Parts: sequence; structure tokens; C-alpha cells
Amino acid sequence: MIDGEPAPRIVRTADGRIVVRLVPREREILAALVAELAEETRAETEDGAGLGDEGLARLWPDAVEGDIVASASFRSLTAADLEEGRAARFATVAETINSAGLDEAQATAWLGAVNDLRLVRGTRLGVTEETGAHPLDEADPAAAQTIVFLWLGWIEEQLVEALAAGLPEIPDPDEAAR
Amino acid sequence: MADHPATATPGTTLEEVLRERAVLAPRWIVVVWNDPINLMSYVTYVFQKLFGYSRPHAHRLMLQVHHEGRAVVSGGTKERCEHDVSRLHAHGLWATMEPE
Repeated sequence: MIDGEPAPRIVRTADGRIVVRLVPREREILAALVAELAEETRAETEDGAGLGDEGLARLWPDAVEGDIVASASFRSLTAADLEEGRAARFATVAETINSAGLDEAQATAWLGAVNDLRLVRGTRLGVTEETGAHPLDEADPAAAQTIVFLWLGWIEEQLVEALAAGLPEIPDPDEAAR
Repeated sequence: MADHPATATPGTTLEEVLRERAVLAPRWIVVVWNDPINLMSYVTYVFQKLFGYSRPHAHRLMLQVHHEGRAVVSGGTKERCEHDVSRLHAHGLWATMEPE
């Protein structure tokens, strides 16, 4: 029997370490994408560059639905922490991009950075829940970008699975109530 | 914040006073909205990790977001909800807060 899914490249081993088997070309691409977003978010924060870009805006959701004043006030209080956290995870990915294995904190940084990439790139592409469900139209000028987006999703699924396996087992309250 | 006069009677424990204050404070809720980008597995993982929910409970909340467009994922004082919203934003989820 043949399993059509490609073999997972990121797995949690029995000793709890998270092994990364990406090939060098994949690591180069991921590093370049993260470096690009790190620069874009830095430029937006420090110089106001890219303000109004809907992809970057997706990293800053409004906190209070329908209240832009309260949302702006919330953002002014939380922005520094959010930016710091984001810059830190981008830096961790850059430092560990060629590692054969990641610890929990490093893998968490990878997951956060890959999710940031998907949010920004997916928003710019205008993806829907159907994106990836149908064969790509090669004539579509966005096809290459869509492939990158789907590849990031494949990486992210594996990071989520590896990290979720390390969470403590919590009993289901609904089961306990029965 | 409203200033509640002390109503404790002799013999009231600190715990009882705190419980009464918690009831008097306006309650807020944290809502997570559906979006077409975040992975279902990722959203479930974030609910487990941030709120300590069991995997089945986190999975049910994720499905509620997916099917109904939004779900209430936590609630409490305004400060508590601000904290939760900022953590959800740090994880890329589209979260808002509102008075209950």
C-alpha cells in the first residue's frame, strides 16, 4: 500500500525532542521568508513603512469589536510586548534554521513565526477555506505564492502535532460531569 | 472602577468578601472569530495551551468558531479579558472582548 502523504519532516521523538528533517533548500526558503517578514514588521514599527498593508494589519487585530478607540487604546498598551515577542521568535528561527532538532521553546518560536507568515501571506493572497482544496491553475500569477502558502501550512501542521503531543493531559470536564 | 462600600459583617471571611466583589464587578467575555487562514489544529492547540483546556473541550470550541463564526473562549474581569485577548493576538488569533 502507498500512503500518498509525504513523510513527516518534523516529529517528536520518544525522548521529547523535536526532530526537523527539512532539506537544505527548504531551510533556505523558510529562513528567507522569515527574514523578509522580520524586516517588514521592523520597518512598519520603526518607520511606519507598509502601514495600510492588509497583510501586516492582520497581525494587529482590533481588540474591541466595533470600537476603534478602545481598540487603539488596547493596542498602545500591548503593542510593545507583541512586537518584542514577534522579533524574538523570528530571531530564534534564524538562529536554529539549520538545527537537526529543536527544544520546546525553539519549536514554539518556529510555530509562531510560521503562523505569522501564513497570516500575512494568506491575507495578501486573499485565501479562503477552499484554497488548496482544488488543483492550482498554473496560469494564475499567484500560483507560486499559493504553493508557498500551502507548504507553510504543511510545515505548521507538523509543528502543531509535535508540540500538542507535549501538552499535559487534561481530563475533559464534560466527561467527568457525566 | 466603582467603589463598593464595605459591607462585610463581623465573621465574614476574606474569601467571602472577595467572592462578593467578583460578583459585583462587571463581567466581560473573550470572543474568538473564524478566519480562513488559521489551521483548525493550531486553534485547538492554542486553546489548550493558553487556557489549560482539555483537548476535547478545546476541539469543541474550535469547531464552534469554525461553524458558527465565533465562540466565547473565556470570561471574567475586564483586566483578565484584556490579558487573554493580548495572548490570543500574540498567537495570531482574531480575538475581541465585550461586556457580557
